[in-house]
Amino acid sequence: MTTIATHASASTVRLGMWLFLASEAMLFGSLVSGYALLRAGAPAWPSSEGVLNLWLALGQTLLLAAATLTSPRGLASTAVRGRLLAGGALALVFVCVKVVEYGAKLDANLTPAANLLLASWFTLTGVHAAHVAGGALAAAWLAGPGWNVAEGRRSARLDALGLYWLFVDAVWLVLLVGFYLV
Amino acid sequence: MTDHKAVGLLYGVTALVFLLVGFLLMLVMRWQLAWPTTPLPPAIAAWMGEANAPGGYVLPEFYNQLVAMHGSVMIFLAVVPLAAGAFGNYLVPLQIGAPDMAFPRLNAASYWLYLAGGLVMLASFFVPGGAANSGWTSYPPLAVLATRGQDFWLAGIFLVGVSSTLNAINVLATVVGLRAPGLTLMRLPFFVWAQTITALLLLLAFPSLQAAAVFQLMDRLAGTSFFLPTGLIVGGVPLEGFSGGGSPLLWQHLFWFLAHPEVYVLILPAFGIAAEVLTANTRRPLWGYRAMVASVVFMGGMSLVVWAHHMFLTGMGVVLSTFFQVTTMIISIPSVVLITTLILTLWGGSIRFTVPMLFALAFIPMFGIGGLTGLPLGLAASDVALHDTYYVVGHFHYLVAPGTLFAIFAGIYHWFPKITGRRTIGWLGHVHFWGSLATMNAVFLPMFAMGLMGVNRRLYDAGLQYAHAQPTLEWNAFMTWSAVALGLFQLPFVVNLAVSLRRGVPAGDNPWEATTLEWSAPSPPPHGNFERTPQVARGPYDYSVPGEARDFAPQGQP
Repeated sequence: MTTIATHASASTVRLGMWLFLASEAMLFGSLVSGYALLRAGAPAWPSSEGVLNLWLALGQTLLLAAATLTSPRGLASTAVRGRLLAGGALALVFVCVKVVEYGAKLDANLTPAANLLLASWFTLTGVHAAHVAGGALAAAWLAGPGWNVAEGRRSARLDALGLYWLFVDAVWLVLLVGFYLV
Repeated sequence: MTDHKAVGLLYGVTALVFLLVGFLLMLVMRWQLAWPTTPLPPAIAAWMGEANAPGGYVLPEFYNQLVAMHGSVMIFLAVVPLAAGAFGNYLVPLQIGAPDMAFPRLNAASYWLYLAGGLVMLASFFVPGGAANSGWTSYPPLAVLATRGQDFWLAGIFLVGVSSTLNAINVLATVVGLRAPGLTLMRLPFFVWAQTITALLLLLAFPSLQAAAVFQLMDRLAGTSFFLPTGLIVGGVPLEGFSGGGSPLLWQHLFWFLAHPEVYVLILPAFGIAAEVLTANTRRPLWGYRAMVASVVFMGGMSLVVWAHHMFLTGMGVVLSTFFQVTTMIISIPSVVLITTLILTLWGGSIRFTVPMLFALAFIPMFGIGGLTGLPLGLAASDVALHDTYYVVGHFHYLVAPGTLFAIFAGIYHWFPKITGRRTIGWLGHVHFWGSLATMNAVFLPMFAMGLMGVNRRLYDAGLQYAHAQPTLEWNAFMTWSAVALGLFQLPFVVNLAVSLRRGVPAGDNPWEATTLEWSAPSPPPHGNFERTPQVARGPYDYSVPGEARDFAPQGQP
């Protein structure tokens, strides 16, 4: 079967990403409001003291910010493919740190079943970490098999990935405030 | 297989198979309701298995699985994929003069995810404890404590949700980005408007159920207590090993935030199909096109703020229930606008009573019955009495079965010549229509009376042990025979499609003399749809324009 020149224009690719992020915003909106409602409705909420590590979370914030800043902003950037891969690698480091953190928590018997704080923390940060991993995969795909397309399309894809990283960062900030600062 | 027409057809055929599965599950339920003390016929009992129906007697646990899976299959795997997946994918690019969807590969991925989700859900019949058995709504704590099948249900729902999201992004990006030159928003066929709002609802509402599914899976697999309250007692024994503190109502909010807009996902494409079929067969423009577009946009927005009218009995308080009954009454206004404009479109038309037209005409009063019987459910005071009775079952079945499904049948007969290049056989269509109309009403109409007499909808013996249900018991046999007849009346439909596919009379490009762009493409449309990109110079329904030689002017005609 022949391929038809139906390739979405660059603006349609960006629109597609915005629509996807709208849906993602509803996903995290539902998860966060679930957490907020449970917490607001609880007679006593478990303390996060000695359970959640703010300094580790701040370190993770830096990692995520580094991943976003390393990722190329459009085709005009130098060494686009290298920066794509570096950004993706930093994102993967974030995921690995999270996995190690989860393991340490479970070893310390701080399981999701222990209380609603840990339940929410594991679930929400877990879904977020899955999104970071997804972004890293997308970066690798863009630098590899997805590279050989028309320049306008490649540029639109890079923009879309950039938007995605900003969204993932914003969600992380919400989680950071919601779990560590409030 | 990334062509939007192939994806649309895959969606359509798969969803029709799921429709049959959901129908067969229902027949077993209907047997049980009609003859609760009689074993199933041996051939059917053998299919159900000794574990589910020992000696042919359906176990209550198995009946619960049938209820939950009938609802889930019909809504998530049959009717929505037909209305949005099949019709949306096949027709939206054609009606806007585009060669394909904006993201063809995502489109194909959306179909395969849907199929995977559906198979995962159905596979749950074969795990220990059987399929999901907590209703299509999967309310906790029941669903959290249910058998393994519930995990499959949740995983299936999650996949179907991802599939819906991809499909919705595609429809929206396509309508925004790929319209033919000259096809302004107010020249879009109403069908495209309906699909656009449907896509927007799926995009924004489904993530809420996915979030809820993640929470419930955590509760079931990781031992969390998102939906398990403190001090839960199950079967007289306090539940051990859970931290508690959760809220079962949180699930209901997250669930209905999707599931109420889902009702509009079911009904809006049906309105879209009805508008196309009615205009082509009355030879008149759609009456009040602008009012219809405004209504459908308003309805989409409002449908996101009515969800808690499903929860009047949860003790949510007067302020909240007042809010939700006001929004619910408001959303009935655009529904009535849509129905009224469709009826006014008929006025003074020279009606062609084709088979699709019959289905579209019947859709109007059937949807009317379903919609009007919903009003007492939207008011908290009357809902208290009617909640969880057969009245509710009658109400939503009128919307979905003789409502949406009739519109879908209308659409299948209407666009079959476009899809295959051949006409269907008229008399078989008439048998299908009249038979379905009579039997569907025979199945669902008695439910209103049953409900008003207070019969609970979840009794697996139809209320054998309740005094107030006694007068209604004997109706069930009639309803069950009607359901069997309804099934038999689908045979002419299947035969019609199968025979017409090979031997139907060649239809040409525009057998109905219709105006929208798909009718100016070849039948069946080739890969890429149009020989050259259409230039649109007029609105979608230029029928019987005074002074014109013909009684229709295609959108692509200058």
